[in-house]
Amino acid sequence: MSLERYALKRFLEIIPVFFIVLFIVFLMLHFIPGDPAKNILGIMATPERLEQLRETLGLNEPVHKQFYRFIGRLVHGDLGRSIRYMAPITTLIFSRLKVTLSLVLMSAVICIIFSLPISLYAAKKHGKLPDYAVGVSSLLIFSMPEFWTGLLFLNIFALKFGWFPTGGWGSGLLNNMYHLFLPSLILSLFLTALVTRTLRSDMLEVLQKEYIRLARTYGFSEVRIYTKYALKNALLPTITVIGLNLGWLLGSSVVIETVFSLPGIGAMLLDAVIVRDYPLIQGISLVFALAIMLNNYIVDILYGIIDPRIYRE
Amino acid sequence: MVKLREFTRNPNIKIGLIMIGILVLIGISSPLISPYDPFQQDLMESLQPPSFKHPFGTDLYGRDVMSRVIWGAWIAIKICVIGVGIAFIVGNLAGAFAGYYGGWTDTIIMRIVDSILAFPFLVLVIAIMAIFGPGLRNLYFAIAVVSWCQFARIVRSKYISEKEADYVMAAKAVGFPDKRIIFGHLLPNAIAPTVVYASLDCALVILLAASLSFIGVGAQPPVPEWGAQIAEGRQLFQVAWWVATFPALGIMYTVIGCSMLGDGLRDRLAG
Repeated sequence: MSLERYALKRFLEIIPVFFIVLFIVFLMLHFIPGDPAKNILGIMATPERLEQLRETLGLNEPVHKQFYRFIGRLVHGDLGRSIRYMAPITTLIFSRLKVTLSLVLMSAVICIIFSLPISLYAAKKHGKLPDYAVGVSSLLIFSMPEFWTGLLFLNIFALKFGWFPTGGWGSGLLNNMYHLFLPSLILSLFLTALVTRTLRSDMLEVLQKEYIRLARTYGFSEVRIYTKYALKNALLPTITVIGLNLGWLLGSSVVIETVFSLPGIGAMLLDAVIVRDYPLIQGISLVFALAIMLNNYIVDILYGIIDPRIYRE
Repeated sequence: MVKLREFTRNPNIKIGLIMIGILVLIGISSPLISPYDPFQQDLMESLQPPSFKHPFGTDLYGRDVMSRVIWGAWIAIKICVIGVGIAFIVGNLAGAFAGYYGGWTDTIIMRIVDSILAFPFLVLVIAIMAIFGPGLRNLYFAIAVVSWCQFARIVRSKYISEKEADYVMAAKAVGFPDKRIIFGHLLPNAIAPTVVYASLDCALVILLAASLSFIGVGAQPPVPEWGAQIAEGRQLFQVAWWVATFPALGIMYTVIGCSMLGDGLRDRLAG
């Protein structure tokens, strides 16, 4: 099978999942116990307002017609209007996409910067004190709730020492990166611990291989063996771990954005939950799911490019 | 059958079991051992630092933080047992049917699993909580809805690799009904990896539940859930660090216990 056919095959597999995701998002409004309109507007709403909202949400039509309409609007890139912000949801999401994406990307970069050298070092010192220290600290980092770590860092480094802003979003690239530093550091902790663990054990496995022993008998330097021969092969599972966990980062960004009051999509989702802005909740869930599906697809294809053995059977 | 002694020889399993055992003891006996009523307000005692009278200090309303952390252990146990328990059962059933029957059953079940996994874990749970409203009972439900998928995936792949085995073929040849083969013969051989995952999932779910309560869509105050307590201590961090810190230590303790047990079980059962 060629790479193109592999890419096409994976794409065709995604299509049913895409439609089920759409259906789940569509159903969210219908799972609301009781009358959704009453639920959104509260018990004090006048019958006219309720009727008006039912009309805008399309709740008066039969369910299958509503679903067709939902799909039809999506084709035009229309996710409906937010009840709270009185604006098209697509515009709202686009205006905040920048913050969340930068947060997630910066966390991924921080994760790579930290986990690569640490895991190589731990693998080199296998069975010795530094190796155990890395193991214990990654377990500790796993166990810390990130919102609490966020609070801790916010109070120490931003409020007490005043090294970082206490939250919010700046203007200009450098200023924004400065604002994002603490949040993305906290967001990356979990992934850094995970990647360090994976890469360390994969390095140990690869270092046992014959070709590494051969490289040693040639008298290559340890640095060359580690970086050029071992790392290259150990990196494959790591790339998958990072790629597949970008979704986890995206989910956790909701919590981090709340702690650091960043104006991202996650914070908007929480606003929407509090004021029961269901169309906005639907829109954001859908965008998050689509982002993850796209991301997983790209990871699959990248993995195929790096290691063609996957599809050449 | 493997003996318990063999399991506890693994240090991770031993430490994990001891840690979780202590947690369960504390949780079950929380009404007996907590020094104060966790809901009893005493505004004269507001924000007292840790002392002999209040080892973990008091919160804004003068409630004893230690008692609230102890009661939180019981809630954490309930979240694990109910949330992960439902996910474990549903995931095992769905995965077993998908893996054993294959074909359309498999396609339908696995496409649903893929679709649920397409959402970020946290975001889907937030959406479910937004639909059904906050509170502990809905939290168990939301967690189960999202986390059965991983169980189903694990069980399915195990059933697929296991169903060609000789003992399954023999059972089929004897004419045993499918139900008996799935639950009587395959299940005991396929359940090990899900038990490992259940332990690791408890760690994830504790963190998830705490995150949800922290952002206000999970357990609602005055329920002494750890995440909700951290939320209450959020604005007080500068003046009263203890309100948010001791519940966080409770979370860390539980998560470490579950992950060590899970890691140990994985080494023991996979090897």
